[in-house]
Amino acid sequence: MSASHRFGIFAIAFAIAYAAIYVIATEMNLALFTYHSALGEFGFGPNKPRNGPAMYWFGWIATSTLCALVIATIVAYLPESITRRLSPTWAWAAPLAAIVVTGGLMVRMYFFR
Amino acid sequence: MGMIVLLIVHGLLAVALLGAITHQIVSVWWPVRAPAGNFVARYRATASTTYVSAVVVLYLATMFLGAVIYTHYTISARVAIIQLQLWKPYGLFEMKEHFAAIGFGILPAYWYFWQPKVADQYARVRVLLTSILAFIVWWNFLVGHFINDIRGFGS
Repeated sequence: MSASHRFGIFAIAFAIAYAAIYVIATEMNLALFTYHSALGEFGFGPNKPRNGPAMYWFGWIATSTLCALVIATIVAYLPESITRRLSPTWAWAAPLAAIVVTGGLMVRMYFFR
Repeated sequence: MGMIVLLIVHGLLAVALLGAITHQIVSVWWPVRAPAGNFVARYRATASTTYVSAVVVLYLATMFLGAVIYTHYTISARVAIIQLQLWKPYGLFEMKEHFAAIGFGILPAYWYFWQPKVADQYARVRVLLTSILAFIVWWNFLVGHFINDIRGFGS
């Protein structure tokens, strides 16, 4: 398998894993770290607010990126007989589904209150 | 003052990104079959491949600056938006936050499917990835502008 083809498998797997993990991380608040913007301090994991708002967004991105990197790297090194089943369609379908889910949740939370 | 400068630079990068991705999306959805003549045809006839690296770099740079400004937004504009109970604009910004993060995860696939070796074989995947990225860029640009008008620079 060429390096270019392997990167293609990695990119597809990353797009799928990242989108799925991001939605799960936001819904279950699986932030790798929290940023306390009023204090300019970081805390490991999802912390409660300290003297101001707690920002989880950076932590959700970090969780999703790290997990997706590990998963996509493993997938990229799987035998071709397995990776052949990974359709490139999922590279756009999974992020599109994540947009619909997160967008829908935001509409429900803030447009009908 | 520093945040205002960052906000302006963030806006300028967003404009450059918007221009690049819009140029690309027009050329993939509405390609020119004959030699380009007028302005619209020349706009459509652009070599879309040349925009790929620029879009990736601009997306990352715009997102990075946006993330820095976001830390200030949570202790300034966001507080005012909550106090004024402007839940719809608040929700729009929350979507911007999520969409930007989801777009970040698309970038490796977007870059890969625009490579000349695979571009023809996976034309549909390439078009759809570019379309999703274009939607995110346009959404985030318009919502960012809207939120800035409510409680941002100069308000």
